[in-house]
Amino acid sequence: MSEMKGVNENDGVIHYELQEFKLFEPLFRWARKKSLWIVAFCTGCGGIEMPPLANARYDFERFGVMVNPSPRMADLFLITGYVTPKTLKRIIVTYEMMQGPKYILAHGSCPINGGVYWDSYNVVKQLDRYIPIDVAIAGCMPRAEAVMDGILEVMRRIEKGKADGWKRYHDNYEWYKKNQDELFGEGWREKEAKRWLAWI
Amino acid sequence: MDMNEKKAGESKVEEAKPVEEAKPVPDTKEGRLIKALTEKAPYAEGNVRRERRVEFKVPAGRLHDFLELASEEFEMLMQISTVDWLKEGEFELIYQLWSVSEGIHAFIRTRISRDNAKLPTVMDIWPVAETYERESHEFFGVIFEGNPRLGPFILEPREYEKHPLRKDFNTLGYAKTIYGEDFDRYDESKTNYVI
Amino acid sequence: MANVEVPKELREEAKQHDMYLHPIDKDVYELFFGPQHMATENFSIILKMDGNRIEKAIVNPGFLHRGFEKLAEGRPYFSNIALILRICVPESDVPENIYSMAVDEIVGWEVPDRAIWIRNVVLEMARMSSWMFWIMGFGNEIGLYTAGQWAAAYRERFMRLFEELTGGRVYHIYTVPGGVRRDIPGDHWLRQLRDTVEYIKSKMKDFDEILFDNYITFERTEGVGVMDKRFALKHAVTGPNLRAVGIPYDVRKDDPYYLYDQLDFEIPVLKEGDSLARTLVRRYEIEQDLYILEQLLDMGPPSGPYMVQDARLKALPRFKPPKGDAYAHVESTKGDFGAYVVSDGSHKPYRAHFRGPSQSHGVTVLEELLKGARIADVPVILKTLDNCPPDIDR
Repeated sequence: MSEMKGVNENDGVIHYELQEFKLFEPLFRWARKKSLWIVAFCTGCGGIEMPPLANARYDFERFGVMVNPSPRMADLFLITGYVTPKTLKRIIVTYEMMQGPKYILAHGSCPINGGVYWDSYNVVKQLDRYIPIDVAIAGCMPRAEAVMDGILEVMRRIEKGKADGWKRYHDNYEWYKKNQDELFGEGWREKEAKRWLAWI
Repeated sequence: MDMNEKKAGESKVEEAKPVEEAKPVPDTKEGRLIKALTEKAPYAEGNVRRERRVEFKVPAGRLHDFLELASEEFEMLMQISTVDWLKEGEFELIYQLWSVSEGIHAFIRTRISRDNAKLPTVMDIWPVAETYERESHEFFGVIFEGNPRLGPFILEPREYEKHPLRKDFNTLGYAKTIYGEDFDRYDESKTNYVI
Repeated sequence: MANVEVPKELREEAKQHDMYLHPIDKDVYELFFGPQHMATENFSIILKMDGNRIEKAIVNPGFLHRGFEKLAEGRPYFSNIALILRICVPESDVPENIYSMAVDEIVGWEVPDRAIWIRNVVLEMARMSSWMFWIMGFGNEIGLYTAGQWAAAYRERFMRLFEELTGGRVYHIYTVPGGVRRDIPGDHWLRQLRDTVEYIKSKMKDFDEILFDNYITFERTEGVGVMDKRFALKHAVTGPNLRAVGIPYDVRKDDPYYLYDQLDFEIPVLKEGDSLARTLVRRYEIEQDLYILEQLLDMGPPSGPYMVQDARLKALPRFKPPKGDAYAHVESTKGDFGAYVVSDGSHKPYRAHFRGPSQSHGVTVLEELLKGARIADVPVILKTLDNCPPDIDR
């Protein structure tokens, strides 16, 4: 992690936003945090605590959060639990299809260091080396209130300007790409993802 | 659940011991089923484990014929389990059958050698055996002749070549070669975003 | 690609009405009904389509494979409970119970009566919360989201009861070989369970009006995905799917375990074998399950210890059962869930093999039933077969 470039630039405006709108940055952050849309991709065990969140008991729709099937229209990606290499390829492609600003919320102890499956041959340990994580929730599996706290933490970070996973991915793309290629083999997109996506 | 077994002794998972004396099969529903099947197929040995559990041992060459005979009474093939006996150099395959009309579960065991593991497929009797054989092939390397779809099914090609569930595959060592040596070391840069 | 010729009579008839019929190119394309989808839970099907109809379906599992059977060989017997219960996520008590039943049979000790009663009640509660999860999935796929939201809310009541009993909402780690880990918290818990059962009984007529007696459901599920008896037996179909074909096979009646031979309940059986029959069988089974829970609560828990008192348990991580093997199976909401455990006398299992019901439903049966169906029928067939992808991959 020490080879990453400095990401908390003090003026908070990155190079591909228009300079005239710098004044409106707090308004944009308020709008972004109050309308997070989730990609409908249930990647692991923790996906069973997502429907209770959408219900009347721990309602998250009052914060503007909604589940949407299309990655092009979504902001928040919930990685609910463990990740296998076969799923990781789809996660990377889906993450790159989303349009910035985009945030990742990782559930459970499996993305942090492998969790219960620490000696398994088919579970990715340390997900942070392949895609940038903004907030991680500890637990196995975390309760619905803990997931709600995680979403609120993402909202607090957006307001302060610290939720910059997408900027980190863009600035340090070579480092992420090196890790991904080490795991999957050089040129995995051209060989495998070409089968699934028509425009590669 | 109290285990009042009707016969003394539990059946052990070993190769066929030299027969001291043939144990008499009791005259229950399970016993009569075993007698009927072993009359038609004298190369198989059967015994009763407990109520609703029977067991047969069949040599690998006559497996397909025995399963055809058994499929009249036992209509459903529930699973094909493979056990890897590394010290004896053999794979043991156990076909778990269930009889819907009688309510009896049968274990049908065979042994094949580990180096050249080949068996005929039972897809023509039960079409669902395709899935079970693909899984057994992928994890252990047993080749079923006649199954057209053997190949990577659940695993990716890189792990499929190693046949992971064999006893001489070390899963922690393999994970370390792929993911690095110190993946469970505490990483301080993670404390700023874990809640 | 082949051009389809328009028949001569149709061309003449069109000419009379001043219309011209174009020949359509017959083209087969591949559609990935992929893992990123709201209906499948991280499970992928490759469909070869001809227009709107499916010609061939190839199932692509493996996104959730963690190698449970290899990991279970590296942990002692009692530590495995914390691992293997993640095999079936909506009802996580079922893998615990079959593993404990198999190890109990290998060891040969007698589980006390109070533990059997508690295990039975926990299994029935897990079945009820899994039915609610199924109604949520099925309602969302048909498009009747109200039923889904209600069912998710009623599932919360069972999770609250589980949390007080075992400490966890979804993963319980409660049933161990030899009994259960802790006792019932008190009489108030039994009273709350009875209130929950009464509450859900009173709400079943609401579910009927919205979901099960609805014209939309009939139109979408009648005649879709039809099986017959011979197909079902040859493809190892179990559970409510088999009872919708006309075969009355239920593990609780044919191979009774725990207290089911003392309880009085019926098995609903229909004979059409299409998706509507599968849906209605599940609806009648929910009523029977509520009746079973009431009878168990009327019986009351017997007194005594909740864990077997045995000297071998004092040496716990090094607990060594004798050599042997055993097979145990249980009726879960998805079908017949079985476990085969082999022990060679050491403190770790030699082989633990699990047979999930979706190994036959979600792979072979799905590929056969999807032939000739339209693209809009795929979520309906998936949800009425009650496919659970972690069962296939383990």
